[in-house]
Amino acid sequence: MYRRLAQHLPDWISEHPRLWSGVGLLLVVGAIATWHLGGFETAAPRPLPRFGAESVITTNEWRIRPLKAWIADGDSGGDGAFLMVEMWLENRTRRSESLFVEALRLAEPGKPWRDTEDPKTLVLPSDPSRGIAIHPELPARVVAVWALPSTPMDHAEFHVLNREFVERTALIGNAAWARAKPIGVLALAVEDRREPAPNKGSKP
Amino acid sequence: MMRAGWRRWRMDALMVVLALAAMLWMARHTASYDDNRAPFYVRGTLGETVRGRDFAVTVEKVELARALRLDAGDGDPPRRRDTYGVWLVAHLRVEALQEPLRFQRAELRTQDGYSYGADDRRVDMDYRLGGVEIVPGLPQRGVVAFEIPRDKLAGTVLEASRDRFRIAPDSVAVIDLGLTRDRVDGLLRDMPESLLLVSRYASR
Repeated sequence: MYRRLAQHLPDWISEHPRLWSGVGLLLVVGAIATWHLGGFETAAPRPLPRFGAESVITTNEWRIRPLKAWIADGDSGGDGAFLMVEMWLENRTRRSESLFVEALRLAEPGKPWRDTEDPKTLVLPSDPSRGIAIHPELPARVVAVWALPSTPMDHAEFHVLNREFVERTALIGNAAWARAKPIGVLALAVEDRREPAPNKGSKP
Repeated sequence: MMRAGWRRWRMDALMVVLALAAMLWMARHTASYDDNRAPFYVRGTLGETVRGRDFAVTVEKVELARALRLDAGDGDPPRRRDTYGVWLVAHLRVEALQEPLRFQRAELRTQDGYSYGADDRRVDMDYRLGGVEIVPGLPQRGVVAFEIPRDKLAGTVLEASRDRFRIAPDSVAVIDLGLTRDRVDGLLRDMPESLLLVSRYASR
């Protein structure tokens, strides 16, 4: 049977049967050993660095030093509560920026980072009535605001994202910040500063 | 026969290589999306009226201050706006030449290519010219306020246009503010601790 098979092999193989038999045997043994040691299984993703309060997070666009997080009541118009994260924020780009997107996203269990939310706005701690812009080389103490998720929380985690500056995007050829990808996880304790709900059963 | 086939194959390969080279050259030398939408710059100096397609703007005066005090004219104490840099307040006169317009965009552009937007949130439109409707025949005077680091003042120019997002290529006024190094040193030396801005809607 071997001779019948050998007739179909190129001369440079059939002229050295022992050599190539040895090579084939080594390959089979190597494959079995690799399988036994788990080499064909999917590699576990490398854990991302974890950040906490007062740590300095540097991305291509921002330098972020988170300070604290708390839950605040919405306004009297009926909006729900908000998750507020106070931080020092420095713009590392060359343009003023009022959009704080694809930098910190509130992590939600079971949701990939692409489906999580950017903050609704950035406001001044002293005047939360309006959003602000962050200017290059002028750090600012700001508060990022998210709508509070429905699940109760005494701590919160955020996906820390980094973007690249693309001179020409593929779609329309403009310059833009794109290709966001996670570079870490920010974990903060959350304080509940909401007014306690009135006790309905108590007498006036 | 074989020689003819080989010659034809070489010609085909050469045509493919030439076509690829032509495509690469075109991709590098074709105007990008940003280039196609580049504005038409109209240049001038402090005190000079700069005319764009449908607006004219004059920077009449430039002031510096460590902080701004914003007086809403409602009897409450003025709100203070501090900065880690300096406030540059430009006094403008804007005229609509063809149709009513809102003066939407003003930026400071530094010598080293940084861009500082007029922050319409730290200093809202009640105090600023931005967003005010200007009709032909009735020029408006007002201020535009910027935060900028001190070491970026020298050589900075003001860019102004009606269109915030530059949706269509249009006129952009580029005004030299006369900020030589000596003038900047003098302005910084003499600048007040705070500058008072009064809301245009304050009762007189």
